[in-house]
Amino acid sequence: METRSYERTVHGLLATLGSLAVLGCFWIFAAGPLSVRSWPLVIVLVCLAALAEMLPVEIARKGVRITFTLPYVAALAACVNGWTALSADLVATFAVGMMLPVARRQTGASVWLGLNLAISGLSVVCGWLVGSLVGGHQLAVALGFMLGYGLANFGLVVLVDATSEGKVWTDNVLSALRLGAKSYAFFAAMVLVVGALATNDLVYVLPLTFVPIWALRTALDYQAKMYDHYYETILALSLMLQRAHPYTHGHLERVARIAEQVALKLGLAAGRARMVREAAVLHDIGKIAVSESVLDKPGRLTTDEFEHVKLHAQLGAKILRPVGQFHEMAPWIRHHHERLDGTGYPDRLTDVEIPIESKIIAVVDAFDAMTGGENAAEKRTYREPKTHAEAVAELERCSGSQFDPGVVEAFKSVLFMEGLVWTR
Amino acid sequence: MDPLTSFVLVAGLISTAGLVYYVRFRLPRRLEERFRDSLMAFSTAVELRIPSQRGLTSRVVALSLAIARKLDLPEARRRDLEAAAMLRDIGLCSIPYGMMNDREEDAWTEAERLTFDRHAEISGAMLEAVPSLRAIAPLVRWHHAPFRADDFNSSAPAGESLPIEARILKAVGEYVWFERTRGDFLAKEALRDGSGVAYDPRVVAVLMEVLRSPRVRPLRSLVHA
Repeated sequence: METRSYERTVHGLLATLGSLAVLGCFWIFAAGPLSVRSWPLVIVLVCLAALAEMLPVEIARKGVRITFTLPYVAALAACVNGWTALSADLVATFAVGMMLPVARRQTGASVWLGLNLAISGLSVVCGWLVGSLVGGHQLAVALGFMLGYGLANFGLVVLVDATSEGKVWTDNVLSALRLGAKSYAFFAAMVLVVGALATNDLVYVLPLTFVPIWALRTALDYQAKMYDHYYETILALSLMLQRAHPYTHGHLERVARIAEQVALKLGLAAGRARMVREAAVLHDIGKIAVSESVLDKPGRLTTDEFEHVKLHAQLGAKILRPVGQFHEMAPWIRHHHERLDGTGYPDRLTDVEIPIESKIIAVVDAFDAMTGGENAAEKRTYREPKTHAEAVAELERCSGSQFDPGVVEAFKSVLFMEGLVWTR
Repeated sequence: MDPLTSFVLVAGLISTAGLVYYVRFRLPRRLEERFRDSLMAFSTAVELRIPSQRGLTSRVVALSLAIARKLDLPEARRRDLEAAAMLRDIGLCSIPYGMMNDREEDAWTEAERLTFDRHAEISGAMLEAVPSLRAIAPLVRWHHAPFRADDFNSSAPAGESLPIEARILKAVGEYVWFERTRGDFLAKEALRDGSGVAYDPRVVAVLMEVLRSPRVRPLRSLVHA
């Protein structure tokens, strides 16, 4: 049922955007002259646009795919006419949209190809509209085209994401602001350079504009490598912890998954929630330096033993300190055993001083520690596991003194949605 | 060509040169720095679990790199050697805490000794699980393998089949441990005695040469502590 409803939504989007795009394309054909001043210029720009479309950069971890077609399409719009720009963009989108799914052995990509074509068409129409309004020097027209195209393209992608995937539009805006500001500056510079060369009919110099594109592609590749490296560091550290304390294996995964959902429930941005998930994977990394004979001891710990266990929060932060990418989450890990009433450890912080991320990890960690995993090897040796209902009752009892009441409520909602408890 | 167009083209040329410089020189360095930071985090974790290891890694790294330079290893292999030196003991995390910290090595049982001897293999297996570190897994796995094959290490390569980086780590790692626990004189004696059997004689000769250098400071020994 859900699949059918999803298909209906996507087909509805395709029909709406496709119709609007067809109308816009007719307007461009009707408005602009059909004659072309310089065919070599058009052919070179169309070829470069297609080549740029074929060499995208994908940052898989962020779900981002960037192409570099826009400078060439904007130059066509400013220096030739609207319909060549439209044709170049549609041809490039169609050719690559047909080739990539075949190369990747994907099926059912025709609907998405249609949506991409509609988005491309509408973006060119908006770009052409803004470019025409700006008027004057050809470089100003090219910049106006880029602005209209960029805004329309971004708005339509956000609309499609929100309608089909249920993605919150603010997440798109925030990630675009973080990643996009530099990219848009680069695109603006590229539009000016390509426009300047096209205006002066320097056709043979145009292929050299692939040098900065190559440089930016390489820069984005490095960024992708840095993301990979970041996640591999998390993986390697969690492997070390699992070697030292095998019961943590399932515990870390469960706490991380639920902590992210609680963060989203509390209204944290998707990027922040993902960081909470990553911090939750590493929240017990300091236990590497804690004796397993103490951690797994049946019965009560002596004062000295408890002091030894308490060290793990600050040692975790110490292990992460050398890595710049963990600077933000190191305090969350240091404070995940603080209590609202100021009797926690290591720094005895009170309510307002404790980061919300630490509060989230604290609640989810406590619940999982009380209930344990389904695997017998993951159960804590020092006490019998509680049922989910008993653990929730314990969280409620400590809400306000040990745990943040808002976080406990959000956590209960997540458990209810996951079907782990039957009443809220 | 009007002045605005000329300005745009000159600015584009300068920006491209800046971007190419950034991509060719700055970004690789930044990635390298992040890689080193991560290695530091791993070795901090090992040193926090086993305080007796504190300070050893940095000395092993420094001596190994000095030997690698004298042996003219290419830069890429020196980088791998550095990473392997920092990560060689991450498998120690799987050794019981009490055995490593609360009891002397002489008091270990045979089973405990065998558990300890597996740490290099475990370190290698852990690195295999991390794509960017997979290349150095063999260097770490064999960093305690003897130069001459023996019955206890029948599965390990020996002689020239052992990667040179593993042979360097074997000699340097054990020298630094003996230096810490027995003092410099006895550590050098152990190296000379094991040359050709446990250690690659060429590596031992270069290590002795490196240790004679006035730039190499002795490690603070536990013997007189």
